[in-house]
Amino acid sequence: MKLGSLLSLVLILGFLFVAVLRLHPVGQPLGHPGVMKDRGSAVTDTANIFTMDDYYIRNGQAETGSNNIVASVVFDYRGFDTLGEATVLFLVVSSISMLMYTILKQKKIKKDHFFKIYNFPTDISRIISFGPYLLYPIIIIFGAYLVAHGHLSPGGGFQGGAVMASGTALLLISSLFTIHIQRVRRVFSFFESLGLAIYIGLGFAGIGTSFLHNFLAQGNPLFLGRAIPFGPNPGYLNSAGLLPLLSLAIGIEVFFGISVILVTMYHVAMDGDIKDAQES
Amino acid sequence: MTNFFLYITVVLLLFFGVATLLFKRNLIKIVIALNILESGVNLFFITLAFKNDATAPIFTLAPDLAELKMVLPTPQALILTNIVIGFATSALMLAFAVLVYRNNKTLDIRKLKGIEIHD
Amino acid sequence: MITPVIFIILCLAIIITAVLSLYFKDLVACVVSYSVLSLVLTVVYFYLDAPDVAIAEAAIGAALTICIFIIAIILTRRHEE
Repeated sequence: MKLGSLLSLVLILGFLFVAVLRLHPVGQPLGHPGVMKDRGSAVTDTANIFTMDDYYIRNGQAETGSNNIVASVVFDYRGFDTLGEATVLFLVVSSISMLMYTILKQKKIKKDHFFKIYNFPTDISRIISFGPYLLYPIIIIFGAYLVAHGHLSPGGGFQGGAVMASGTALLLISSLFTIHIQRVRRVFSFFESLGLAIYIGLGFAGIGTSFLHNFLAQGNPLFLGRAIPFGPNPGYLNSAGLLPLLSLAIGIEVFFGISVILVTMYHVAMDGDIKDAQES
Repeated sequence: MTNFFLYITVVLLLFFGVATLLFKRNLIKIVIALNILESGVNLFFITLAFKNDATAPIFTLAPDLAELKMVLPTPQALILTNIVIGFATSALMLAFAVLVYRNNKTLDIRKLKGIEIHD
Repeated sequence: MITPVIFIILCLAIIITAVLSLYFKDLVACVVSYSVLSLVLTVVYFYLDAPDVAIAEAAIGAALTICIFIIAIILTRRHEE
């Protein structure tokens, strides 16, 4: 058994090395060198284009209206893949809740059981017990800023949602959650489903052309439809059509989904027979 | 030639991930090895999308149009979703590891109930 | 700015932290080493002109993964046999 594993490992290393030697050199991928030159004012312009990424770089700003091409690829050109990812996250959250529920159900939780088991150390320092009160609003505001400016600067739904979820991780160590953990989990779970439902609902809103069609992008300049000329600009918040709304829905779903994962596993860890589980 | 070192890093990350997956016995070490594999794959995609003397694919406050070159945006979009999916996958695997420990009192993959080792 | 020397040091740091995270017997040390790997990977992503991916890797790889791992280690053993 060991000889076979070693041989296959050496073979894998050899294959990887040979494959890497035959790739293009780092820094020279395929593409047209003059992809930014001589662009007219039409919405879609197909001159100077060799590959798909050339099309996205040349036409992403005019077609979707957002300055961040990666966000426009994630939410507009490839919005269906983002829906698949949101479904995977939702599926994992529900699976973890179901698995952990089989452990929690065996304990026959009583109502006054909570107050005895959360035996935090009494000599906890002031920073850990008081610091999160000061730090949690700042983290939430920073995460909301990343979600809201997803179409202008690096950011978007996933990044902002993950930053906000790390705020929940901060609350777990500061014993702010302990007594109301069941109620908190139900509220978070409701909002996570709401986020995914908003994403799907916005996808069906433009169903006249296709699912997840960006129907606000070249529309009313007052409601997220401002036309952006090609080239660098300081960034206008009122642009990019459906992108900020989809980004908001994904941000809500990722934040509350990861919070449900953390709170559920924390509940299992803190509630029960960890004395015989720990060895050292 | 210093940029070729990125490909070497990717190959070594993948190699260490697969080697640990084959030879270590603790379940949590196996989950960490899968995470290292996934980090290697992410680095590989971002390396494929890199252009020399180019800038990030964002038009806000970008350099002037005369000297503007951008890296490819599509692999970055794919890796963005891949990172979140990787986190969700390892969270699910750890939930399974917790359940396995509760039933078997050990995390050694050779000593689990129902596993037979043929040498 | 980033010179080739610093770039090679970052790539070496990636490899070294990856080896360390698979070498320790104490599982908390392994997970902390994986978090350092994620941090160095964030810096390399920023150097490769991918700020979106860098923010995502910093928030998820360096902050949330270690949180979920430590909860799992509390529920199981800390030391590998």
